[in-house]
Amino acid sequence: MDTNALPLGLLEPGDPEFDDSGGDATGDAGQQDGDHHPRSNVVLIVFAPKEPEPKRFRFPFDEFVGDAAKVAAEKFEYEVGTPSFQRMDGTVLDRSVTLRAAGVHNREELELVDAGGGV
Amino acid sequence: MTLLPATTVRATVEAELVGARAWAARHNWSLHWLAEDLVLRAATYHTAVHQLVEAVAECDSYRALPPAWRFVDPGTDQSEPKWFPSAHPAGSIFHGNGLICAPWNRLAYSEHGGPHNDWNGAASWLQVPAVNTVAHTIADMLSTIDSHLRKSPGMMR
Repeated sequence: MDTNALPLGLLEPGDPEFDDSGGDATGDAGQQDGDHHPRSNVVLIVFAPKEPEPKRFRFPFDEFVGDAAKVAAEKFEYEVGTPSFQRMDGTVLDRSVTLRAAGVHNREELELVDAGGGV
Repeated sequence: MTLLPATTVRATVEAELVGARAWAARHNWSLHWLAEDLVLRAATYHTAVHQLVEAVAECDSYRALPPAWRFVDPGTDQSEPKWFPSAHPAGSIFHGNGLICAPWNRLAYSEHGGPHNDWNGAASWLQVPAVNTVAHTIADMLSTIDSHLRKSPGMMR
């Protein structure tokens, strides 16, 4: 299925990329969907510190990290803060660059973090 | 002064620990909840200096008040500068006075010995304007400590 025709934001049941059961191979480092359409969007598996289970989101590759993190934070019911994404190696993504520039790949697991500084 | 019954605090913290334990498993932290004492001990490695560090949160009156967070000599309750991570020059919650300086640390408030008399007191910790670090659950506090620890160049001396 052409994933570029699928809705953005939080993935809901029935979406072919809602979980891994659809077998929609990411292929080509995740830059193509299962039917080899070039992807214009990326599915991210996002954890939040306060929740044991992740949520999946679909974002345009050209979305800014800070904007995407804000969308995810709202779905996890974070009302305030300066959200960003953290890779599992601890690297916090620059909120001012796009997801493409940040180098995220399809189905990458990221953690929501507050990128606010010290006081 | 205790603002909430221990049973209330215990139930609140233990509900939050479900998420916190999952977070800790993903980020190589060890959590030890001392339910009778209402104390959470959280340990990990400071990767820049390959050293075990342990943060302790006294959670009495949580969430009427934020926890009292401090770094200790691991396995003890001793708090000395050499057990406290140093700050990244670009900004950090780790202050040169050996204090985790954040609205979610009770010890940052002036009525508890800290420097901040500008946050309307520890009982207002959830209303402190979100201009800097924000963490309203124990898991989010741990996540913030972890983020700043990863940028810390070493330990205070």
